[in-house]
Amino acid sequence: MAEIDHTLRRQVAQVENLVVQVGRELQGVGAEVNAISTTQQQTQSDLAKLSADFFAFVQASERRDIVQRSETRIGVLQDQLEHEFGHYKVVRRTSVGLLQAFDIGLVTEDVVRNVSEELMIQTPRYWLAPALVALTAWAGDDRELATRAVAEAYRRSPSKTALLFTLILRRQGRIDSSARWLRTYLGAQDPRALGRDFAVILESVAVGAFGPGGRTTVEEVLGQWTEALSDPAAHDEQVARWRNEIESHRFPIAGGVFPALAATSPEWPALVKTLAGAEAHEPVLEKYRAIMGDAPAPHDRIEDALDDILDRLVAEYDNEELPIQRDLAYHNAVVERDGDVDGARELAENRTAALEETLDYLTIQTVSALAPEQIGVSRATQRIAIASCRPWFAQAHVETTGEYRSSLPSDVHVRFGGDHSTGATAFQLPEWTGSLSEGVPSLERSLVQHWDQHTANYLQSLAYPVKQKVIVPAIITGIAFLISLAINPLFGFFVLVVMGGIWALVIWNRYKTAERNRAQAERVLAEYKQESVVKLREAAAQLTDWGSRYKAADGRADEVRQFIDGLAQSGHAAITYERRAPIL
Amino acid sequence: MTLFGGGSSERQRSKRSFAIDSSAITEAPASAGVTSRAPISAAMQRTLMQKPRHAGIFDAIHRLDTQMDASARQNLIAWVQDQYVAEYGDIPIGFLAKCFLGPPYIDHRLDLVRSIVEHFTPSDTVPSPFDRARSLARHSAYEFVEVYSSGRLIAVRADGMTEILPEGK
Repeated sequence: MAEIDHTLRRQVAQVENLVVQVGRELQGVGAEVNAISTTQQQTQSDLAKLSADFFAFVQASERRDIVQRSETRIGVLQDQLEHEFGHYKVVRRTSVGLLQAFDIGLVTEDVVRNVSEELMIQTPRYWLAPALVALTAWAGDDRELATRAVAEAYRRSPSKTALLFTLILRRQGRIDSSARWLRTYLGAQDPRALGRDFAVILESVAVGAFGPGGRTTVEEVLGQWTEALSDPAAHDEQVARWRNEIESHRFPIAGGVFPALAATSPEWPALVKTLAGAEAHEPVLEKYRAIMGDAPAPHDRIEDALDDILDRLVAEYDNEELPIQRDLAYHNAVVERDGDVDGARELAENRTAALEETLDYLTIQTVSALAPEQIGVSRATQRIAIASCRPWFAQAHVETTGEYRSSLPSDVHVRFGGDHSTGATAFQLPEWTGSLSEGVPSLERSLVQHWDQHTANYLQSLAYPVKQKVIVPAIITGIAFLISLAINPLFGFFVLVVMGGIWALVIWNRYKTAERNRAQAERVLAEYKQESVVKLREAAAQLTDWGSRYKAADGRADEVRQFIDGLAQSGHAAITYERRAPIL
Repeated sequence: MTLFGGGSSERQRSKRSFAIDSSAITEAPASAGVTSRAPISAAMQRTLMQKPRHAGIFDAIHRLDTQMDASARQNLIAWVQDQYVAEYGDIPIGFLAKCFLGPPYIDHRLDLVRSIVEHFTPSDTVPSPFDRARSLARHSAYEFVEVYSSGRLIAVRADGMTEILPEGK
């Protein structure tokens, strides 16, 4: 009997050991599975980073190649300009000497005449050469030669010749002749296809170079042109240019500024667009306030102002050079944009609007306002052009403002899917979405409830079902008790105590192990839930920050609007020489 | 140094008995000058639409938001439509504005075509094309937004000034 009891006890102990061992091994396997899962995620993340780094490297390398090609091309184009049009520079440079000689009489008329005639032969097709011959003939009082030379210059470039003599005669005090040249020039212009040299007219008006009479003539003509060209399509075209200008002041909002909001809100793209739109007000305002507030010091004498304008007239690119200049502008943009071909093309397109052979009057105004350096006008002219463009600037501002205000989401949500944290991935948490307008406490409750709901089954599975586990051992012990009771009542009670005790011990151990595991799982889950809740709170706080930033930026819209409205008064603020008597 | 820099001398000037004159040009100008056009109706309409809205319009829109019997509403709508034809050249199909009924309503639409007023909560879907006006109507800068059948929106400020937003933008 004692032997049976001993054997039974040994076997039960062995079973118990086995159970405990299996339990430990299972725990070990579970830990390893978790470790593998973490390693796998880490590997995936490393792989993604490596892929992104490689892609960035390839892109950078491509861009370097593109920049190098453009730099080479720039050299070639500059050589080509020098080779094909370099001799024009000689005429322009010689003009300096010729006109100084013409003014102060330090060189004999024969020399002046020889040089101008030589240039005439050396630079066929160039309009400035016969114009200089005409000036030389004028200096020598040779009416017949002057008339023929003027006719030739006019044939080569009617606009520039007319403008040159308008300005030179104005400079020399021949007001009536100057005014006739001006009328000749304006009468020959088609406001839908003006040469780039028309910017010189704007420049002259800006500094009052034509005098009161000339300015009235010009303003009358410009008024008629504006009216004639102001159909809705032309209006929309100029508004579109100004929209581009305003939109070029929108800067991307990096996701790193509002990380939790960027990661969890489906409305993030709209929030970015809205904020970037609102934040364009300040740089636009700063830029145009600086331009309008920066009053350039006027020249002391009208001659100096006219000389500057004449410089611009003769130094402007001639039409034959424009295709090369456009190509050059594109490659310069590529270098400037560090190989970003699309960005460079956009930049070059904006800049080369001024490099078209003909422009309509409205576009000349806009280009003078937006890209004065491209069309060759001074800051003073740019200011007047900006004031003239006020209706388009205002409408572009209305449209860009309305556009970002319209894209403001009426409600901002947060979405927590199975990928928002390691825990959510491990538990494959189904997607949960909440509206931030509900308030954080309510959202937190809802999110925690979502976690609880999804993980309840898992926690339940970790619980040890004591009642189920007790039934079989109880029956076996009962049967053994009854059998041993039939043999000997004392033995029966002994079997009951020993078997019952052993089973109870085994079940208790298992129960305690399960409870430990369950408590551990609950702790881990609590951490995961807390992680989600923290992200939720961060997203809500970042939305508040976003709101403050948006409100402050959007508030500047009225300032910009008032500034643009105020441009109507700043049109012709400083006219420098109008009240003066002609000098010569 | 300027290209045409320098002073002038009496000696040189006195020598010139003539001025280089544009009358020396015998060629006809290369192109005709400006040709003036008749006023363009679309441009005129734009000008009309930009006119500030008068106080009567504001008053009517506020009254339409209140309880009133069907015939009075119809009369008021007819008056508003007449005003738009006479003053601004086009009649909107309706307005979207902030709702002053308080939560849960945030905005309402005044549909001039169907002669109805509808109030919306944030979760309600506003029918097209009024839906595009929703964020604008809620903005404090605007009193109400006119919605046109073309999809054009005109946001009206408290001082009556208008901001025209083109179709589909």
